[in-house]
Amino acid sequence: MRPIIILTIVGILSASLLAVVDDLTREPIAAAKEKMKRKAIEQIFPFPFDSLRTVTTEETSFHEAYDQEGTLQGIAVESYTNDGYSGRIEFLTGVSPDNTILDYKVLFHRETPGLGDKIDKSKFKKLFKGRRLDNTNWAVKKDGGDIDELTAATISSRAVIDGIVKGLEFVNGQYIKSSAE
Amino acid sequence: MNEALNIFTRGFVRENPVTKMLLGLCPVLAVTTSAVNGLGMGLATTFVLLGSNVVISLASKAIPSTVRIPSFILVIATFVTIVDLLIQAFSPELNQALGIFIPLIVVNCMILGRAEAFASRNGLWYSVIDAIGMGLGFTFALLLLSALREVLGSGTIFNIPLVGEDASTILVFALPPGAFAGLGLIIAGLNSLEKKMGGSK
Repeated sequence: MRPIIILTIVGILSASLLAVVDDLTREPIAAAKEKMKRKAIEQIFPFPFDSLRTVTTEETSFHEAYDQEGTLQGIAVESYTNDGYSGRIEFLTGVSPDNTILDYKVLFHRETPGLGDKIDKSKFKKLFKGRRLDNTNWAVKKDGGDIDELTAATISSRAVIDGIVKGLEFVNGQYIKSSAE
Repeated sequence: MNEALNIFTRGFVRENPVTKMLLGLCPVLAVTTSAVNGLGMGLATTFVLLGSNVVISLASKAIPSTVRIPSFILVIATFVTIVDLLIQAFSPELNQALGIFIPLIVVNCMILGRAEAFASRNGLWYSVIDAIGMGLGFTFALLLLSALREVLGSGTIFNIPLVGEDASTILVFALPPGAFAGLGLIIAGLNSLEKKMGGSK
């Protein structure tokens, strides 16, 4: 009997301790996540903004950035692709109100360190600035497109294009639809 | 006091969990891609080790030997979960970098090894010294390996660039094979250093 009782006591003690810690950290964790997102949004807009408003649709979220007068300055759209070299890559793309790319940020990836992870470096990101859905041939140069792929990371480069284009299409489709409602 | 010093240096040098015992190699090899990751992983593991050694040295007499291992695992898992929650709350960047390897500290055989081989047979004071010695030894080895890999593989140290963004680095050190090679080099280096200074032992 004794082993069972002791193990039960150990279990109850550790469960109660964890309940307390979970309770204490729940708010800081939620705040930290919110802060990470806010920081990411601040990084992709080249201008300071005053307030944020989030519009959520079935497939994605749009974060609208307004200046002090309440004019829409830019939209940060969340998108993803499953075509990365190691699966899923998540993006946050900042566009101006006319859907021109300002900058993007990779929120999550598992690409090869030193090769594919350059998709989050400014040298590659620069290639996307100022591009729109209609003024660009959205493919890597190897496939006859406009984007110069990363050396030894063509698959990662293609994946970025796929994810970013998805984001732009979200803005063109769902965002405009949802803001017209 | 001499005994305490002896226990401390044993964990740090003579029985260093990474370079001598080769324990807990899964996180050692996997997370040491940058110095920040190595340091964070080392400190998280040290905290868990300290907590579990303290609790187990105090409670071991009350725990019957038949349920010893499950009880130890429960204690360790509890501390790991606490560390995991704290890192998520106060260092989300580190949480993103270390990811799944924080929960996996539970199965780091070094921690169960110290609980079983040391804390359950010794008093509180020596168990604390043992945890600090082993923990810092683990952290030191991780820091050494991750700094080596970051400098050679990415050309940065603690995320501070040492070379331009375009410079080509020895990529293999950022990849898994580099972890094995780097660990081998470090163990070889420490062994030869020890041999040179060996006379005193």
